[in-house]
Amino acid sequence: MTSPRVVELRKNVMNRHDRKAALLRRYFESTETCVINLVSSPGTGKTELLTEVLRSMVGRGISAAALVGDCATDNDAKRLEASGAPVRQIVTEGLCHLEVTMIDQHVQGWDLNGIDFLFIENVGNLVCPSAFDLGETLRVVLLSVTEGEDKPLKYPQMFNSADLALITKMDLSEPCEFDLATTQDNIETVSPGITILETSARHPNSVNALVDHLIESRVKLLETTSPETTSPETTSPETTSPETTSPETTSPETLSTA
Amino acid sequence: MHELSIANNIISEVEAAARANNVQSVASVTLSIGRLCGIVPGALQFGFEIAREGTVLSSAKLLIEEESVVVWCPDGDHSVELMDMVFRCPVHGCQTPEILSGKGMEILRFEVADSCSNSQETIAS
Repeated sequence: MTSPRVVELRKNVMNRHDRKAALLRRYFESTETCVINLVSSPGTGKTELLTEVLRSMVGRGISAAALVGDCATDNDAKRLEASGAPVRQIVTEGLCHLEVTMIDQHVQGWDLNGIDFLFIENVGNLVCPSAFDLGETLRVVLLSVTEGEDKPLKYPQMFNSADLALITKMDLSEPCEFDLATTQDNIETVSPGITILETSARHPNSVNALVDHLIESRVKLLETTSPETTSPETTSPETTSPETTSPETTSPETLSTA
Repeated sequence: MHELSIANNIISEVEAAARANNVQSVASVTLSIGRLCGIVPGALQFGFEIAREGTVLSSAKLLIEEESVVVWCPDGDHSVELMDMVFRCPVHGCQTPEILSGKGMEILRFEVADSCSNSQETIAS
Protein backbone atom coordinates (compact mmCIF):
# COMPACT_ATOMS: atom_id res chain seq x y z
CA MET A 1 0.00 0.00 0.00
CA THR A 2 1.42 3.38 -0.97
CA SER A 3 0.40 6.52 0.86
CA PRO A 4 -1.88 8.90 -1.11
CA ARG A 5 0.01 11.24 -3.39
CA VAL A 6 -0.17 14.90 -2.41
CA VAL A 7 0.52 17.70 -4.89
CA GLU A 8 1.74 20.91 -3.23
CA LEU A 9 0.20 23.76 -5.20
CA ARG A 10 0.63 26.99 -3.18
CA LYS A 11 -1.40 29.00 -5.65
CA ASN A 12 -3.52 32.08 -5.11
CA VAL A 13 -7.19 31.22 -5.64
CA MET A 14 -7.68 34.52 -7.47
CA ASN A 15 -4.57 33.96 -9.60
CA ARG A 16 -6.19 34.32 -13.03
CA HIS A 17 -8.57 37.04 -11.92
CA ASP A 18 -5.84 39.09 -10.24
CA ARG A 19 -3.49 38.70 -13.20
CA LYS A 20 -6.18 40.06 -15.50
CA ALA A 21 -6.82 42.89 -13.04
CA ALA A 22 -3.10 43.74 -13.02
CA LEU A 23 -3.06 43.90 -16.84
CA LEU A 24 -6.11 46.14 -16.87
CA ARG A 25 -4.54 48.38 -14.19
CA ARG A 26 -1.45 48.77 -16.37
CA TYR A 27 -3.68 49.73 -19.31
CA PHE A 28 -5.49 52.34 -17.20
CA GLU A 29 -2.12 53.71 -16.09
CA SER A 30 -0.99 53.97 -19.73
CA THR A 31 -4.03 56.10 -20.60
CA GLU A 32 -3.62 58.07 -17.32
CA THR A 33 -7.22 57.23 -16.42
CA CYS A 34 -8.02 57.24 -12.72
CA VAL A 35 -10.45 54.35 -12.26
CA ILE A 36 -12.71 54.55 -9.23
CA ASN A 37 -14.61 51.51 -7.98
CA LEU A 38 -17.66 52.66 -5.99
CA VAL A 39 -18.96 50.12 -3.49
CA SER A 40 -21.81 50.33 -0.97
CA SER A 41 -25.08 48.74 0.10
CA PRO A 42 -28.08 49.17 -2.20
CA GLY A 43 -29.72 52.55 -1.53
CA THR A 44 -26.67 54.42 -0.23
CA GLY A 45 -26.94 56.88 -3.09
CA LYS A 46 -24.09 55.83 -5.38
CA THR A 47 -25.99 56.70 -8.56
CA GLU A 48 -27.28 60.04 -7.25
CA LEU A 49 -23.89 61.19 -6.02
CA LEU A 50 -22.09 59.90 -9.11
CA THR A 51 -24.54 61.74 -11.41
CA GLU A 52 -23.70 64.99 -9.62
CA VAL A 53 -19.95 64.27 -9.63
CA LEU A 54 -20.07 63.58 -13.38
CA ARG A 55 -22.15 66.70 -13.98
CA SER A 56 -19.65 68.78 -11.99
CA MET A 57 -16.70 67.27 -13.88
CA VAL A 58 -18.37 67.80 -17.28
CA GLY A 59 -19.08 71.42 -16.26
CA ARG A 60 -15.43 71.95 -15.32
CA GLY A 61 -14.18 70.48 -18.58
CA ILE A 62 -12.81 67.30 -16.98
CA SER A 63 -13.42 64.22 -19.10
CA ALA A 64 -15.13 61.52 -17.09
CA ALA A 65 -17.09 58.38 -17.93
CA ALA A 66 -18.93 55.68 -16.03
CA LEU A 67 -19.54 51.96 -16.12
CA VAL A 68 -22.45 50.86 -14.00
CA GLY A 69 -23.19 47.35 -12.79
CA ASP A 70 -26.60 46.07 -11.82
CA CYS A 71 -28.18 42.65 -11.44
CA ALA A 72 -31.01 43.71 -13.80
CA THR A 73 -32.26 46.84 -15.65
CA ASP A 74 -30.38 49.76 -17.20
CA ASN A 75 -32.14 52.33 -15.00
CA ASP A 76 -28.94 53.57 -13.39
CA ALA A 77 -27.19 54.09 -16.74
CA LYS A 78 -30.13 56.23 -17.88
CA ARG A 79 -29.94 58.31 -14.68
CA LEU A 80 -26.18 58.77 -15.02
CA GLU A 81 -26.47 59.78 -18.69
CA ALA A 82 -28.34 62.90 -17.57
CA SER A 83 -24.94 64.22 -16.44
CA GLY A 84 -23.74 64.44 -20.05
CA ALA A 85 -20.89 61.97 -19.51
CA PRO A 86 -20.54 58.76 -21.54
CA VAL A 87 -22.01 55.80 -19.64
CA ARG A 88 -22.06 52.05 -20.23
CA GLN A 89 -24.26 49.56 -18.37
CA ILE A 90 -23.15 46.12 -17.24
CA VAL A 91 -26.08 43.82 -16.47
CA THR A 92 -24.72 41.02 -14.30
CA GLU A 93 -27.87 38.87 -14.65
CA GLY A 94 -28.09 38.15 -10.98
CA LEU A 95 -24.39 38.06 -10.11
CA CYS A 96 -23.83 39.94 -6.85
CA HIS A 97 -20.58 41.68 -7.82
CA LEU A 98 -18.57 42.86 -10.83
CA GLU A 99 -15.62 40.80 -12.03
CA VAL A 100 -12.60 41.99 -13.97
CA THR A 101 -13.62 40.14 -17.18
CA MET A 102 -16.82 42.22 -17.28
CA ILE A 103 -14.83 45.44 -17.00
CA ASP A 104 -12.43 44.21 -19.66
CA GLN A 105 -15.31 43.40 -22.06
CA HIS A 106 -17.05 46.71 -21.48
CA VAL A 107 -13.99 48.92 -21.99
CA GLN A 108 -13.19 47.15 -25.29
CA GLY A 109 -13.36 49.62 -28.14
CA TRP A 110 -13.63 52.53 -25.75
CA ASP A 111 -10.71 54.90 -26.25
CA LEU A 112 -9.71 55.83 -22.72
CA ASN A 113 -6.93 58.17 -23.87
CA GLY A 114 -8.05 61.56 -22.71
CA ILE A 115 -10.55 60.18 -20.19
CA ASP A 116 -9.27 61.36 -16.82
CA PHE A 117 -11.79 59.53 -14.64
CA LEU A 118 -13.63 56.28 -15.19
CA PHE A 119 -16.11 55.50 -12.44
CA ILE A 120 -17.24 51.93 -11.93
CA GLU A 121 -20.45 51.76 -9.95
CA ASN A 122 -20.42 48.27 -8.49
CA VAL A 123 -23.49 46.18 -7.67
CA GLY A 124 -25.02 47.37 -4.38
CA ASN A 125 -23.52 44.88 -1.91
CA LEU A 126 -21.12 45.36 1.00
CA VAL A 127 -19.80 41.81 1.06
CA CYS A 128 -19.03 40.21 -2.29
CA PRO A 129 -17.36 43.03 -4.29
CA SER A 130 -14.60 43.30 -1.65
CA ALA A 131 -12.89 40.14 -2.93
CA PHE A 132 -12.71 41.24 -6.58
CA ASP A 133 -9.98 43.53 -7.83
CA LEU A 134 -11.26 45.31 -10.95
CA GLY A 135 -7.92 46.93 -11.79
CA GLU A 136 -9.18 50.10 -10.16
CA THR A 137 -6.95 52.96 -9.04
CA LEU A 138 -9.06 53.73 -5.99
CA ARG A 139 -11.74 51.83 -4.14
CA VAL A 140 -14.29 54.15 -2.60
CA VAL A 141 -16.79 52.87 -0.05
CA LEU A 142 -20.00 54.81 0.60
CA LEU A 143 -22.19 54.80 3.68
CA SER A 144 -25.34 56.90 4.04
CA VAL A 145 -26.62 58.60 7.17
CA THR A 146 -29.78 56.47 6.99
CA GLU A 147 -27.89 53.19 7.38
CA GLY A 148 -26.69 53.13 10.96
CA GLU A 149 -23.38 54.10 12.50
CA ASP A 150 -22.22 50.53 13.11
CA LYS A 151 -22.21 49.44 9.46
CA PRO A 152 -18.39 49.60 9.18
CA LEU A 153 -18.13 47.19 12.13
CA LYS A 154 -20.60 44.83 10.47
CA TYR A 155 -18.77 44.85 7.12
CA PRO A 156 -15.11 45.29 8.15
CA GLN A 157 -13.61 43.59 5.09
CA MET A 158 -15.15 46.08 2.67
CA PHE A 159 -14.25 49.16 4.69
CA ASN A 160 -10.76 47.82 5.28
CA SER A 161 -10.15 47.26 1.58
CA ALA A 162 -11.21 50.81 0.60
CA ASP A 163 -8.93 53.78 -0.09
CA LEU A 164 -11.54 56.45 0.63
CA ALA A 165 -14.82 56.48 2.59
CA LEU A 166 -17.73 58.79 1.76
CA ILE A 167 -20.62 59.48 4.09
CA THR A 168 -23.57 60.27 1.82
CA LYS A 169 -26.92 62.05 2.27
CA MET A 170 -25.44 64.40 4.88
CA ASP A 171 -28.40 66.73 4.20
CA LEU A 172 -30.53 64.13 6.03
CA SER A 173 -28.26 63.78 9.04
CA GLU A 174 -30.41 65.84 11.39
CA PRO A 175 -33.78 64.11 10.84
CA CYS A 176 -31.94 60.76 11.01
CA GLU A 177 -30.21 61.80 14.26
CA PHE A 178 -27.01 60.64 12.61
CA ASP A 179 -23.98 60.43 14.88
CA LEU A 180 -21.07 61.52 12.68
CA ALA A 181 -18.32 61.16 15.30
CA THR A 182 -19.30 57.57 16.14
CA THR A 183 -19.46 56.67 12.45
CA GLN A 184 -16.02 58.15 11.82
CA ASP A 185 -14.67 56.23 14.84
CA ASN A 186 -16.16 53.00 13.53
CA ILE A 187 -14.68 53.49 10.07
CA GLU A 188 -11.28 54.26 11.66
CA THR A 189 -11.59 51.13 13.83
CA VAL A 190 -11.74 48.80 10.82
CA SER A 191 -9.66 50.94 8.44
CA PRO A 192 -7.11 53.07 10.32
CA GLY A 193 -5.87 56.13 8.48
CA ILE A 194 -8.52 56.12 5.74
CA THR A 195 -9.72 59.54 4.47
CA ILE A 196 -13.39 60.15 5.27
CA LEU A 197 -15.41 62.80 3.43
CA GLU A 198 -18.94 64.00 4.16
CA THR A 199 -21.05 64.42 1.02
CA SER A 200 -24.51 65.34 -0.16
CA ALA A 201 -25.65 65.04 -3.76
CA ARG A 202 -28.03 67.94 -3.01
CA HIS A 203 -25.25 70.36 -2.10
CA PRO A 204 -23.05 71.47 -5.01
CA ASN A 205 -20.33 72.62 -2.58
CA SER A 206 -19.88 69.15 -1.14
CA VAL A 207 -19.89 67.61 -4.64
CA ASN A 208 -17.24 70.12 -5.76
CA ALA A 209 -15.13 69.38 -2.68
CA LEU A 210 -15.28 65.67 -3.55
CA VAL A 211 -14.32 66.40 -7.18
CA ASP A 212 -11.37 68.52 -5.93
CA HIS A 213 -10.26 65.65 -3.70
CA LEU A 214 -10.44 63.17 -6.61
CA ILE A 215 -8.49 65.50 -8.91
CA GLU A 216 -5.80 65.87 -6.24
CA SER A 217 -5.65 62.11 -5.71
CA ARG A 218 -5.28 61.55 -9.47
CA VAL A 219 -2.41 64.04 -9.71
CA LYS A 220 -0.63 62.39 -6.74
CA LEU A 221 -1.14 58.91 -8.20
CA LEU A 222 0.12 59.96 -11.62
CA GLU A 223 3.28 61.25 -9.98
CA THR A 224 3.87 57.94 -8.24
CA THR A 225 2.83 55.54 -11.02
CA SER A 226 4.40 57.05 -14.13
CA PRO A 227 8.06 57.79 -13.52
CA GLU A 228 9.43 58.81 -16.99
CA THR A 229 7.62 55.89 -18.69
CA THR A 230 5.02 57.83 -20.67
CA SER A 231 5.01 56.24 -24.10
CA PRO A 232 4.73 58.55 -27.13
CA GLU A 233 1.34 57.17 -28.22
CA THR A 234 -0.30 58.07 -24.91
CA THR A 235 0.74 61.72 -25.18
CA SER A 236 -1.50 63.72 -27.47
CA PRO A 237 0.07 66.59 -29.46
CA GLU A 238 -1.87 69.26 -27.53
CA THR A 239 -0.55 68.11 -24.19
CA THR A 240 3.09 67.88 -25.27
CA SER A 241 4.68 70.70 -23.34
CA PRO A 242 8.03 72.36 -24.05
CA GLU A 243 9.56 70.92 -20.85
CA THR A 244 9.58 67.37 -22.28
CA THR A 245 13.35 67.57 -22.64
CA SER A 246 14.61 66.26 -19.35
CA PRO A 247 17.20 68.32 -17.45
CA GLU A 248 19.64 65.36 -17.28
CA THR A 249 20.02 65.24 -21.05
CA THR A 250 20.28 68.98 -21.54
CA SER A 251 23.58 70.61 -20.72
CA PRO A 252 23.62 73.95 -18.84
CA GLU A 253 25.13 75.67 -21.91
CA THR A 254 22.24 74.79 -24.18
CA LEU A 255 19.77 75.80 -21.45
CA SER A 256 21.36 79.24 -21.13
CA THR A 257 21.26 79.88 -24.87
CA ALA A 258 17.59 78.88 -25.10
CA MET B 1 -22.95 34.47 -3.00
CA HIS B 2 -19.60 35.31 -4.57
CA GLU B 3 -18.35 32.02 -3.12
CA LEU B 4 -19.58 30.25 -6.27
CA SER B 5 -17.22 32.40 -8.38
CA ILE B 6 -14.40 31.63 -5.93
CA ALA B 7 -15.23 27.89 -6.10
CA ASN B 8 -15.02 28.03 -9.91
CA ASN B 9 -11.58 29.64 -9.64
CA ILE B 10 -10.40 26.90 -7.26
CA ILE B 11 -11.63 24.20 -9.60
CA SER B 12 -9.99 25.63 -12.71
CA GLU B 13 -6.65 26.04 -10.91
CA VAL B 14 -6.73 22.50 -9.51
CA GLU B 15 -7.93 21.04 -12.83
CA ALA B 16 -4.98 22.64 -14.64
CA ALA B 17 -2.52 21.31 -12.03
CA ALA B 18 -4.15 17.85 -12.10
CA ARG B 19 -3.80 17.73 -15.88
CA ALA B 20 -0.15 18.76 -15.63
CA ASN B 21 0.46 16.00 -13.07
CA ASN B 22 -1.52 13.37 -15.01
CA VAL B 23 -4.03 13.01 -12.19
CA GLN B 24 -7.40 11.41 -13.02
CA SER B 25 -9.23 12.10 -9.79
CA VAL B 26 -8.73 14.41 -6.83
CA ALA B 27 -9.59 13.24 -3.30
CA SER B 28 -9.30 16.54 -1.48
CA VAL B 29 -8.24 20.16 -1.87
CA THR B 30 -6.81 22.15 1.04
CA LEU B 31 -7.23 25.91 1.10
CA SER B 32 -6.01 28.64 3.36
CA ILE B 33 -8.50 31.50 3.59
CA GLY B 34 -7.71 34.74 5.37
CA ARG B 35 -10.30 36.08 7.77
CA LEU B 36 -10.20 39.40 5.91
CA CYS B 37 -11.32 37.83 2.62
CA GLY B 38 -14.99 37.93 3.49
CA ILE B 39 -15.48 34.28 2.57
CA VAL B 40 -18.11 32.26 4.40
CA PRO B 41 -16.69 28.70 4.61
CA GLY B 42 -20.17 27.09 4.52
CA ALA B 43 -21.12 29.04 1.41
CA LEU B 44 -17.81 28.13 -0.23
CA GLN B 45 -18.44 24.42 0.53
CA PHE B 46 -21.89 24.74 -1.04
CA GLY B 47 -20.51 26.50 -4.12
CA PHE B 48 -17.71 23.94 -4.42
CA GLU B 49 -20.16 21.04 -4.42
CA ILE B 50 -22.04 22.61 -7.34
CA ALA B 51 -18.96 23.67 -9.29
CA ARG B 52 -17.04 20.36 -8.99
CA GLU B 53 -19.67 18.37 -10.99
CA GLY B 54 -18.26 16.77 -14.11
CA THR B 55 -14.64 17.61 -13.29
CA VAL B 56 -11.70 15.60 -11.91
CA LEU B 57 -12.80 17.02 -8.56
CA SER B 58 -16.30 15.50 -8.73
CA SER B 59 -15.76 13.50 -5.53
CA ALA B 60 -13.21 15.82 -3.90
CA LYS B 61 -13.52 17.11 -0.36
CA LEU B 62 -12.80 20.75 0.37
CA LEU B 63 -10.68 21.34 3.49
CA ILE B 64 -10.43 24.93 4.68
CA GLU B 65 -7.73 26.24 7.00
CA GLU B 66 -8.33 29.69 8.42
CA GLU B 67 -5.53 32.26 8.17
CA SER B 68 -5.63 34.60 11.14
CA VAL B 69 -5.34 38.37 10.92
CA VAL B 70 -1.86 39.52 11.95
CA VAL B 71 -0.95 43.22 12.01
CA TRP B 72 2.12 45.29 12.82
CA CYS B 73 2.05 47.39 16.00
CA PRO B 74 4.08 50.56 15.27
CA ASP B 75 4.29 51.61 18.94
CA GLY B 76 5.56 48.31 20.32
CA ASP B 77 7.48 47.26 17.17
CA HIS B 78 5.95 43.79 17.09
CA SER B 79 3.44 41.76 15.13
CA VAL B 80 0.20 40.84 16.85
CA GLU B 81 -2.80 38.66 16.03
CA LEU B 82 -6.19 40.34 16.06
CA MET B 83 -9.02 38.27 17.48
CA ASP B 84 -11.70 40.59 16.11
CA MET B 85 -11.80 43.22 13.38
CA VAL B 86 -10.70 46.08 15.62
CA PHE B 87 -7.47 47.37 14.08
CA ARG B 88 -5.81 48.42 17.31
CA CYS B 89 -2.94 46.77 19.13
CA PRO B 90 -4.42 44.83 22.08
CA VAL B 91 -1.23 45.61 24.08
CA HIS B 92 -0.42 49.23 23.16
CA GLY B 93 -3.82 50.48 22.02
CA CYS B 94 -2.43 52.21 18.92
CA GLN B 95 -3.88 51.93 15.43
CA THR B 96 -2.49 49.12 13.30
CA PRO B 97 -2.99 49.93 9.61
CA GLU B 98 -0.32 47.54 8.35
CA ILE B 99 -1.72 44.07 7.70
CA LEU B 100 0.80 41.23 7.67
CA SER B 101 -1.60 38.35 7.03
CA GLY B 102 -5.31 37.61 6.81
CA LYS B 103 -5.99 38.67 3.22
CA GLY B 104 -4.64 35.55 1.51
CA MET B 105 -6.72 33.03 -0.41
CA GLU B 106 -4.45 30.17 -1.33
CA ILE B 107 -4.80 26.64 -2.64
CA LEU B 108 -2.21 24.86 -0.51
CA ARG B 109 -2.34 21.35 -1.94
CA PHE B 110 -4.51 18.59 -3.31
CA GLU B 111 -4.54 14.88 -2.67
CA VAL B 112 -4.74 12.38 -5.53
CA ALA B 113 -7.64 9.92 -5.21
CA ASP B 114 -7.00 6.91 -7.37
CA SER B 115 -4.16 4.69 -6.30
CA CYS B 116 -4.69 2.94 -9.67
CA SER B 117 -3.74 6.02 -11.66
CA ASN B 118 -0.07 5.09 -11.38
CA SER B 119 -0.70 1.59 -12.66
CA GLN B 120 -2.84 2.99 -15.50
CA GLU B 121 0.04 5.25 -16.44
CA THR B 122 2.41 2.30 -16.57
CA ILE B 123 -0.03 0.28 -18.69
CA ALA B 124 -0.50 3.17 -21.05
CA SER B 125 3.23 3.68 -21.45
